[in-house]
Amino acid sequence: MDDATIDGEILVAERNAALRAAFAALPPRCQQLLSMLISDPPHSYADIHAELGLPVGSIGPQRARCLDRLRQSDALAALGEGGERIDIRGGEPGA
Amino acid sequence: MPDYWDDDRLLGALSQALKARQAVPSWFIETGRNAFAWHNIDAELAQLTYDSHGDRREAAVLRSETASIRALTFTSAHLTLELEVTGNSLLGQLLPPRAGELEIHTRAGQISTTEVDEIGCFSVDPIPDIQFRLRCRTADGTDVLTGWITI
Repeated sequence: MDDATIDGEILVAERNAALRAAFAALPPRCQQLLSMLISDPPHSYADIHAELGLPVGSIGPQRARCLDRLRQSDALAALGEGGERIDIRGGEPGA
Repeated sequence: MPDYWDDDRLLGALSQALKARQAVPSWFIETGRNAFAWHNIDAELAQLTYDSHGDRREAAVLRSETASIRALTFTSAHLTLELEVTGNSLLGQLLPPRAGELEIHTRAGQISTTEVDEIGCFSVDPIPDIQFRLRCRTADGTDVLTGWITI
């Protein structure tokens, strides 16, 4: 494993930790909604409606609102400029 | 927070972050939890200083007969615990001899208690079939905890 790979893995680990901290600080409703959206296999909007009682039409806006809160969180703000060095498009660390 | 983190990317990153956490092996979490459970215990830790099991392995090249009894010694600054396995029970003695109380803590979180008599003798019967450790509190206030034991 070369230095660049190690650096990359550290950055990814830091980013993951910041994301988890930010997620933990979200209101429970947002945590539930986002969990259902990223579950594998993903839940349908109908499932989410049944589980959380959210009208299907408001799931999209609610998703945007929750992600916005995540984006604005202290934990991710603290990641700051360091985050820009990470290419978030890639899948696995080092890939 | 980079501006180009749009909703989909952010959700993808969050998904990865939460999955990475699920990838932590359960034994790792279990070990951490166990360590945490003991972190505020105000007992001296007694180290394993003798195990006839190891002794026997070394001696095997010289002798063919094996000892029928397994003996263990745990030592701390103020107390020594001598343990002997005989059949289904574990006999022990505190040195220097004194009375007290012995707790048997199993890996599964069960705790049982037995008495230590005036000359420091006690027995644990039956021997737990999973890892366990002993905590000994004597009348004079000595509090000693052994490392994990597997018989």
